Amino acid sequence: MSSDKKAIVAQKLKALRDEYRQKLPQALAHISNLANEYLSDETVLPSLKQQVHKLAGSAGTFGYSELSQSARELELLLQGWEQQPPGEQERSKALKHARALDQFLQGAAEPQSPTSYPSFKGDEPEVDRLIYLVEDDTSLAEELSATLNSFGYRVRHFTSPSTAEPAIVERRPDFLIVDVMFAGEQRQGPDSIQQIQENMADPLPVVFISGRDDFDAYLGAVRAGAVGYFVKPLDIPQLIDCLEAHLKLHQAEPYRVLIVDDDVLLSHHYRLLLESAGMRVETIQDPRKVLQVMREFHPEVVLLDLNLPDCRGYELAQLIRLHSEWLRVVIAYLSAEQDEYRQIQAIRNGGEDFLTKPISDMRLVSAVAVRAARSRQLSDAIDRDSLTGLLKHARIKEEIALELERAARQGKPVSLAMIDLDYFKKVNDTYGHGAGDKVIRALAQLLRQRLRKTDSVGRYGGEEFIALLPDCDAESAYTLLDSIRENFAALGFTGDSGVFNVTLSAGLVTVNGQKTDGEKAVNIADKALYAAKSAGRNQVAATEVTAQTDLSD
Amino acid sequence: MNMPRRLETILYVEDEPDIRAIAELALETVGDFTLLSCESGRQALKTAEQQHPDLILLDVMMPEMDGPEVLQKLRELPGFELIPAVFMTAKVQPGEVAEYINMGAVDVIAKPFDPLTLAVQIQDIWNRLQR
Repeated sequence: MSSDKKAIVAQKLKALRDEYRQKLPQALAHISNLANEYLSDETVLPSLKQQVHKLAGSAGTFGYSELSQSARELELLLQGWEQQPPGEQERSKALKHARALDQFLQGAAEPQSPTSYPSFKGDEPEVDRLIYLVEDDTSLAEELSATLNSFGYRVRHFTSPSTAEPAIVERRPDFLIVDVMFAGEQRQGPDSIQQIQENMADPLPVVFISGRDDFDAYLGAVRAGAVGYFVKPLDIPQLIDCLEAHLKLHQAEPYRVLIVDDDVLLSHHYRLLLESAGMRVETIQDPRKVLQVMREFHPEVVLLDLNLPDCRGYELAQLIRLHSEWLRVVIAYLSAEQDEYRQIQAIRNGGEDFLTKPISDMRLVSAVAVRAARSRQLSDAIDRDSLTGLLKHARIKEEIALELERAARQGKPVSLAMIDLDYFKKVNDTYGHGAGDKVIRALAQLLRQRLRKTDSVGRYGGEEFIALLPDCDAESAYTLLDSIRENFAALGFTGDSGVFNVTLSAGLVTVNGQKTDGEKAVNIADKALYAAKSAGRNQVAATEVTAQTDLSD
Repeated sequence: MNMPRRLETILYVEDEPDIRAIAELALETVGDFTLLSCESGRQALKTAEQQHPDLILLDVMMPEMDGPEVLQKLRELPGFELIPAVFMTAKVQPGEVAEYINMGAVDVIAKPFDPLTLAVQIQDIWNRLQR
């Protein structure tokens, strides 16, 4: 699409979404009312089902994929109620679910656009996440709130679970962070959180902060829906890592699944099933197409039928395994093969797992989702630096080369920033290496948070980072980097001998569509960084590559 | 030799005005197709006879006449025995796809659909038919 047309489409799409958003509260309230009515009048069931079905089918198209998913869950709950009236438990679960739908908009962020058009929104992070913090120590709460704020989280502070409960009912937060008191205190334990969870249609992600480090404490936390558990003294960057990992897991790009099965109808069915669970699916019948589709589609999971025309499924698995770049793809066989020996044989030959047909819809969806998530974790482990979660040196260099090539082809600007912590050695020497690691992680998180999805960030060296900003001109890049610099300088860190601040310097280069070699661009950014350091540090120095720039040496 | 034909005109039937509006954007503006958009099966049958679309895109669940019924009636009209039909559905029951394919649909698209890729999806289905 041309950029003009893209803009028109984006504009129209926004208008339609706004319109839908306006009507949505009414539709959601209608469903909630019908669910209430059903308690005294069972004849409203067909219209309740119809409304829920409509919502499941439409909300995703307008950017509310979570709502769509949630409506689909309710639809599944209602299934079969005409034939067999539901039990008390099912009824109350469905009712809660319907009411939760009605609450949805109050907690919801702006609809996500499936293909976002990059834009900088000035100084504010794109979406604010809401956290309820239950903490009886006011000074710790203040410190924690301030830090979370600077990472784009909004925090409401409560002194006990009982005071937080009404707020949770009124507006669901993205996370609940609870400082647990185990000894003696009844209302502040994980038990009271478990009680709150029982009244939620969807469990709330909870992070516990505690002084205890034993099995029973962990078990209590797990039962109360913990997604994280941190022992005091609190390592805040680690806490933020945990929050972000959780968010990423739930809002990442759709999983990509390739199905190779010569049964057209069956693979169609699987495709639809996985698509309606939010995944992207390609199907092929002819195994000979597998290489091409693997290259173009980059699946994370491949489902193989064992009996294919011309070749066996496990041969295809081996063939895929001959390509080292697809090592992280999970291959599972989906077959009616009952013979255990042959199943094992197939797994030995390159696949990871065996899913036996016939397989229930729910099994298939969850089996594929779990495997796709695993594949993604694996990719991350291979490509990313373990301390910061950022791309490793080699990977960011690859990205730079790719992006520069693309930008030159499209005649678009691309900016590259080399970022370095000021006097970092002194931090390590004065406050200990643990404190140094905290600083590095904090900068990594800040960068991730402030950059767009299409940008890449890598850890280039010990305390050196690279941010790659495609389709970003010199001015926007400078504004962004300088505000990151300012934010970072304001962060307070706690070390062995007190609270301290760290500043950063950055060298920025913007290439305006010229063909530039990756190494060259990094060198220019490095020189700019040196200039920023010499000029007194805590600043951003910018250069541009133009037609006049000498790129020869 | 059989030259592959280009997909130009799509007849689209959907009773929900919101969904219709966004599909119009997806197929007309993004996809550059000529879209004949109808809110009911009755209207669709009339429009089909007058305008002779290349492909028909049908919502499954509609009041009065549902998608499969519209397709069945359409197939009875002269010249529409073989028109490629694609169903759109938010429900994926085991056997449902098979049922639609047996009815003569060439493919099924899951709802919710992505407005930015719907046109590509339809074009892919069309290209497959031309091979």
